[in-house]
Amino acid sequence: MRTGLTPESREIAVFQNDLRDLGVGTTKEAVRNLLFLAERKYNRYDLYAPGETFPQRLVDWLSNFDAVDRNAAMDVVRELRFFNQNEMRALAAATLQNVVTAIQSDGMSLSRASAISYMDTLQSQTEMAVADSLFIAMADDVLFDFFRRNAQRQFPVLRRGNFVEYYKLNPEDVSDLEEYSRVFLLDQISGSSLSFLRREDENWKGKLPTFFEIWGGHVKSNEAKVHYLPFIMSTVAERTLSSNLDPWNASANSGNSITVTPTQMVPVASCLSTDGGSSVDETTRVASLCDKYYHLFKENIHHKVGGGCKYGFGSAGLILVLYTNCPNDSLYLIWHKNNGWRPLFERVEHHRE
Amino acid sequence: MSRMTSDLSVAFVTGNHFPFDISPDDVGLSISPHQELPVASRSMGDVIGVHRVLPAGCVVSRHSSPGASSIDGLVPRGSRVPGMWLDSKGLPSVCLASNIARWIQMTQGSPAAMLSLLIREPGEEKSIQEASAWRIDAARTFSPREKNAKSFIWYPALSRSAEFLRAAGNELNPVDIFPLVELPSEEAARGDSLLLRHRNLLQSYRVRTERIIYLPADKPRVAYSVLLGSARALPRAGSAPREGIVTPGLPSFLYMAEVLSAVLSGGALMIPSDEVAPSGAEVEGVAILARRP
Repeated sequence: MRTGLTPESREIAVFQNDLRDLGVGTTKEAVRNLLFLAERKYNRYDLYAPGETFPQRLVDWLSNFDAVDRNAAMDVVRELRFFNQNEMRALAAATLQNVVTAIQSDGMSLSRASAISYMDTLQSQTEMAVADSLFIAMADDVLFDFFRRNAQRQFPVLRRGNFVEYYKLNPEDVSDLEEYSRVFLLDQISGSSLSFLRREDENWKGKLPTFFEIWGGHVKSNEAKVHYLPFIMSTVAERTLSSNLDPWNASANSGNSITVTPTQMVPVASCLSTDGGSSVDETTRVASLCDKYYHLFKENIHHKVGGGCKYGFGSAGLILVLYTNCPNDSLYLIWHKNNGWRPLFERVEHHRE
Repeated sequence: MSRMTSDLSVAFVTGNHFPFDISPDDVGLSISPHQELPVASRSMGDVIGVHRVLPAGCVVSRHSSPGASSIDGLVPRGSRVPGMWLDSKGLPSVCLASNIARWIQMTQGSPAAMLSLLIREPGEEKSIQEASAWRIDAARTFSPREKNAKSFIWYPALSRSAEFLRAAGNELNPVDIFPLVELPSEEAARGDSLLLRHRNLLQSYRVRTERIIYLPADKPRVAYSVLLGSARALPRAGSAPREGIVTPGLPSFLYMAEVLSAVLSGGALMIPSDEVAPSGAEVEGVAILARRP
């Protein structure tokens, strides 16, 4: 049957047969699209073993499901959003420009005399303000080296001391830092916002309260403005964070308002939503699938903080994969490996129990 | 093709209320036959407060009208040049690019000069037309002989239709392609449908994923700098010098950033020769080309 086929046609035919064997009916065009994206993006997932490919993983992953559910599982695959290294770098570069925008919208005293003098004063004052800023990584995979080099290339006034590679510093080290007037907290993804700020047992928890425990005094003594800049933020996270920030500001932070500026917004996957990506609809076919297989997933104490992971941590409803890891805000179906489940994109947890 | 070596800087200002005063010496340009003087005068006066608008003939020879001197005649060589304003409304993009290139050429010896370009929201989209390779510096299409001698490096905006880009690719026969993709964007948030739409083009030219250039539409300065940097890095020496050629795509700021990077890098455009720059009613901002003393 396969003699005389081009290598591409043969690859398509083999993959289509594999899927058909699993009871998944797909058109040749759909298979071609999948193979195209696999080769261009998915196969480059950092955690795949050498020689391992997405099509192999997909066949293996579909075998997790009962035959009757495999076509619904393909709905998930069709909505995969894979951010590769170049895209993440582009988002990091765009985030630097968000820094510039934040600085420039902060009441500069600019010359109005002419367009050129306006541009000149804008540039010089922006450079001064950038030099007076601190960039702090809130996660260990925010492409911080890339961000720093790109920022230093655009603003040669920036020094190594403007960049702090992780926010959890010894408080004594914090007081050694030079003065600054703005703090930019860089994060890779805010899928639910709960890792950043949440109410738990009448207390505020998360990266933001921890940051202020360490940095609070220093930030206040500098009267610094604090900006939170996630490269990617979900619509669910945006909503949750905006509802948490005001009460947190009122009760815990005593006067330091936080400005949130995401670079790329991502909605709830459309196969899980009936309101345009604002929230998860539990009556959708994919939501039923998440419910049916959730008993195979093992929640740990960190997952429980977000109310479990049935529709992604904090019900973020994402089907999103970063080339370095799969966030737990994405559907557990694609990343967990409990009870013999074979994941599509295995996840390495940040926290261990 | 001569390379634009200049100390020009390009800046973008968003919004239609500009945060600087317009000099009384500033003049507006109305490029005939694409723009009518009374309409341009009214528009420039209303939007930016420039009350002196001069008629100028298009630098493209087939558009030149008798008696109207082109931008060449309005820029005094080697002396201080008044600030000039150009509205993109109604201007074919190839003409816009070539007029800007001519202004750059004419002001090279000037101690200071400024050209501000109004950027408008997109206007009505026309049906798909055939693209041709445009020599910005010479204000004309490439002759078949010139085209055959070139090794084109093509920067197509994937926001264009697959049909249009496939036809343009066939016409151009580039040696390499660097697709332009808007990021961040709403479409990017939902998946990789953009890549799938152009699957045939990307596969037939064996475009590697690493070749894709991601540009933020709401940050035109970044988009402009990234694309300019890429186009300027192309090898120009040797027996087959590379020629960067851009097919810009909407939205408006991104489109203009892409056109300007083609102009400033001494590159070319691959678009329909009658494609008009974004010409909607609302002004979205301004691009300022400034030459300093």
